[in-house]
Amino acid sequence: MAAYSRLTPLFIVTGFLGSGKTTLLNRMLRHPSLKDAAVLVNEFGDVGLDHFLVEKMDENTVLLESGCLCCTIRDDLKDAIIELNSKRERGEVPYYKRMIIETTGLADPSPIIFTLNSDIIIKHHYRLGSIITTVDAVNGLKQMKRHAESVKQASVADRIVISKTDIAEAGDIERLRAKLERLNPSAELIEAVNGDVDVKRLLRADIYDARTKGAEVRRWLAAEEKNDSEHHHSHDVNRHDEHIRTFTLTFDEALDWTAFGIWLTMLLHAHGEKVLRVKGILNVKGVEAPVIINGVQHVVHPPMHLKAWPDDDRRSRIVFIVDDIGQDLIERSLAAFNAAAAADAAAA
Amino acid sequence: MCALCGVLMDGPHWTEAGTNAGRSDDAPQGHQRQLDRDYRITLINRVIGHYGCTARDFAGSQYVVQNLSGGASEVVINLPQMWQAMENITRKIADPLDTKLIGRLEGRV
Repeated sequence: MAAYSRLTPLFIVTGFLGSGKTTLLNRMLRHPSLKDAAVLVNEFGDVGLDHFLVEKMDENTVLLESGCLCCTIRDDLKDAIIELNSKRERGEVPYYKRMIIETTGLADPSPIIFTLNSDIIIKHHYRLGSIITTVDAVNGLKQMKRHAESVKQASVADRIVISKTDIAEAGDIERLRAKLERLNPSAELIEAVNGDVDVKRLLRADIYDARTKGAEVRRWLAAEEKNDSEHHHSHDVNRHDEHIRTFTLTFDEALDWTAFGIWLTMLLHAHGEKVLRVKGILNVKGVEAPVIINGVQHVVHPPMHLKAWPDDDRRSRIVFIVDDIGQDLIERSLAAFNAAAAADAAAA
Repeated sequence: MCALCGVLMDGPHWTEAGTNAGRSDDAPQGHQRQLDRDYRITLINRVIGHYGCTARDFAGSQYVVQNLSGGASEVVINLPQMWQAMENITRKIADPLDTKLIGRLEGRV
């Protein structure tokens, strides 16, 4: 198996109905740096209209059959990727270096991520790159109030593209930005006008890209610190979505990696549906390099080392975005698992 | 698939593949790997003992989870499967946020 960072990155473009996914995708595909991308599109209905909009990628585009990508045709996604991979190996399609998957507007992206991580062939050729979520500057706040999928799509994102900023009121854009920063502080917010965005910024910087992962982690941490300090000063219990909470756990003591693995797998087994996102930088006992963890619901990416700590702070910092789980209980639980391991190690 | 026992193998789980994306220069090997495995089983037993189960190593690549009477058991290859097996055997939810489990672990410190 190739080194993880050398696997073909898979980017997921998601976003609520009418939030500008297809516009964004079309702009992206016209960008010269995406000549080497394969695209999988999917829409509800008998005819995938979006397919005709992604004209320039015909050769590498596989139109998934009708239905919802997440629930009813998950095998199609898997089969489509494997088929495309076989064609690439046989030289029947250009050698694409990245793949983009567009979800339906009503999609919960987590089953897609699960599919990508559960198939052994896919796992050996591909890795998750970034999750890019489009949010409509005009209707985004209302959609997040009314539709759980919309909140989830924003919660699991690595990059959030705020679309339709050219027709939205400045105040609406600011309120939406504030909401998104609280909901998912580590996601990068990028404003788009008519779908125009910095494509390189969207696709090239991801946590598993050796060239950019240090900068990406620094960005996470800065966002986390900003969110944390604002949170402590405002004490506004209503500012988050009613059920979604974002918080950071900080541990002064180095963590026991084995205990952490037992704890996190057990947490995700019992509450994976409610742990929308977990990511952080860990100080692991016996490991000099900082260890990066990154998970979306039931799926945890392989941990990675950073070459060096991004700053002088050597504490473990873990950001959680959860649905109706208390921070205190999570913190107490992880501390108990870690302390039990420390007690065992001391007794040995 | 393991040709001997028929268990599907899917590469090492992230919890067992070291802390750097399973890179061979960072992943535990040989004797260290077995020591890590033994340690993991010790910690697992602290947790699943709370639910009346035990785990032991099987052939250095799998785990046997069973209830205390030994009357029910399952063979698993990684931690996510372990929690499911424990639930199948005990009909209890493997939940790290269970305050009784947390209390038990805190009691050890």
